[in-house]
Amino acid sequence: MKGLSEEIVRKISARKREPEWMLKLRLSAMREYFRISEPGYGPDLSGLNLAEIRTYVEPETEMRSSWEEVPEEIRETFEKLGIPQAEREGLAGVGAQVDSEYVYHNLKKRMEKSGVVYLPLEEAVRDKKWGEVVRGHFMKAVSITEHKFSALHAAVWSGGSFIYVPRGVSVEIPLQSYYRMNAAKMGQFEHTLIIVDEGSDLYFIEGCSAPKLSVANLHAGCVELYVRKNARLKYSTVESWSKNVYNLNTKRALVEENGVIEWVTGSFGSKVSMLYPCAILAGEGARMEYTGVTFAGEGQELDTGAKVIHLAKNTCSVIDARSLSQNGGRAMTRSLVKVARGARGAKSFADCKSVILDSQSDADAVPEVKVDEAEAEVGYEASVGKISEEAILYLKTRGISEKRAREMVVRGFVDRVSKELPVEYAMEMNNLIRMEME
Amino acid sequence: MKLLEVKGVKYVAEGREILHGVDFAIERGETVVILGKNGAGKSTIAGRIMGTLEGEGGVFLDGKSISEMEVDARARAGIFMSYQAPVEIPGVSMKEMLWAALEEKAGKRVGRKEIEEKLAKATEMVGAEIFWAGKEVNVGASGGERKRNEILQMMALEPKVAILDEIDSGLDMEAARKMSEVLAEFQRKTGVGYVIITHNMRILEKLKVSRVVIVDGGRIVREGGEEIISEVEKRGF
Repeated sequence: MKGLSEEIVRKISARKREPEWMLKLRLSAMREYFRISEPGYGPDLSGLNLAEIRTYVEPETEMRSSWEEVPEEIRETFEKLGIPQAEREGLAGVGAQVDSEYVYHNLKKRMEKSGVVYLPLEEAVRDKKWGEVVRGHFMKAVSITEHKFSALHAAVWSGGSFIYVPRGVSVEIPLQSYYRMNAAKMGQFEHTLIIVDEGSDLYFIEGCSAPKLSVANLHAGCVELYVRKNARLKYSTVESWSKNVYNLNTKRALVEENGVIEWVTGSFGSKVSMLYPCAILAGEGARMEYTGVTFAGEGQELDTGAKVIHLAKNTCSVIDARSLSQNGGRAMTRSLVKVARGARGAKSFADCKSVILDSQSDADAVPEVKVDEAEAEVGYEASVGKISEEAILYLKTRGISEKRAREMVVRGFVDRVSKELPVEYAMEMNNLIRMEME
Repeated sequence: MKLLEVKGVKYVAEGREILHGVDFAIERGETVVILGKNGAGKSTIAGRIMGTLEGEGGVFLDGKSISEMEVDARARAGIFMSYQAPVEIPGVSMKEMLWAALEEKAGKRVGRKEIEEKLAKATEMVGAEIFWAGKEVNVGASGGERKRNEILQMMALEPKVAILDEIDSGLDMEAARKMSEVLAEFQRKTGVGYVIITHNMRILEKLKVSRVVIVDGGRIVREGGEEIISEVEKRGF
């Protein structure tokens, strides 16, 4: 189904056997989409033609029938990433279930015991008990009218996960949407809704760094995270989109008293990205940490960064955003820090570092700081520079070839992100960087 | 056959010749000391041997010319140069750097065990704590730590020739004496040839100096044996 119309929205909702409230929400979002104009900043989006975009893809038709049909470039990438054949095929939407289903199954059993709920969002919407919870949170942290693409998302969303961690539960191993490949494949408009209840702890890893096949050239996903009092959520993403994709994703966390949200992001691929995970620090002592890196290569324009809104006393945020650009790529790092009146003792520090790897590429940093509270400390640093030739020469004097030395210095630059990731993801991220630099 | 031979080595910077053709040679297990005032051209000689600076003249290692080689190839061939002010490389650990260097030198993958043994050996020789290997290259390190890191790297890489450019500057008497001992022991074990550039004779205390070269205005103005050192110490250049 291409384009956007009431008929399409009704069809999507009907196929998903959704309750009335969701259909209503979708339809009102669709009207907002037509009303709202495109963002007045950032990359050029004129290459997007919604009429040509498949807003809904039947899960079955999306499954590619054979590995041979997967584009060569993507097959090669899977191989270079060292992903086993079965998994590659699974990730590319080919073939039957992979081993991870088994892993997931076991994980699910253990989690169920502690009351953790991990469902495809569609299923949660239909569920008697969880449907109401979803209703109370869906498109509430991110409003439908946030921007044009959040409205589009709400109208045609499909796929994604719902996670609820009950009070006082620590999920000891990271939950990965990797195990939910079916759901992940559903779409370019997937929605992740996570609620970590009081005093709980969750580490969620979104996606996997294998290149995602794009059935549409638009990805407008949405992530809504609710971090309750004294809860902690670490949300990691390593993503690599195929290079024709407009990645216009919206991620937001609402953090209550003494809650902590930690974002760890590695963004690769896409033609255009506009992605700025945001935290609203609503309760006293709430915290956000953001560590992210993007790599803009040939023909790519990546506009990324982080946002934080301090609404309460003694809230704290740290933003460490890094970008690399090469082969004509353009990386723009934005950060927005807002401190509302009354958020006494709020502290924020943002550091945006960009490294340009050659003379054809470009990078810039745009800080935006808005402080309405006198008793707040807000710091900002930004730098745009070249890779340290001095460091490369030093490594060469130790016998390391120019190419490897360059890779090492670049990897060192993104080390802050790698360190925050589980080892297999860190390795995949390093492989992605190596591939970008080839 | 000489271990290292430097023949008519020159260097031109911004159209001005600042090194006017320098010749010297060392044998395996020997130590040559280069003395001279600041700006005499001592570090320029080091850079020309390592290849970080380019210019006319020949550099030979084991009788083979390395003049046409890139810096990294010279290093793999067996040249090591310590930096006076080593750079910081954030996010890259000492171990990672040396691992890569040893792999490239070997031309194949090198196992973790082998690397760790090498690092442990270097650590023991220097009398350091093994933590140094996990640290990011020179990040937040003091001047003294950086110098020590250079020596640790030399030991892990086991070069044929090590050019030590003011490796002792900023060290106190005791530390300089200790470093002298460490260098002497490493030379006994490996037969490394040293080219030592210094202002501080204490670093030479435990080393047997084969030849002393005095550089001034980009030229060798005097050459001789160990006796020159005490003369220079008494009367200056």
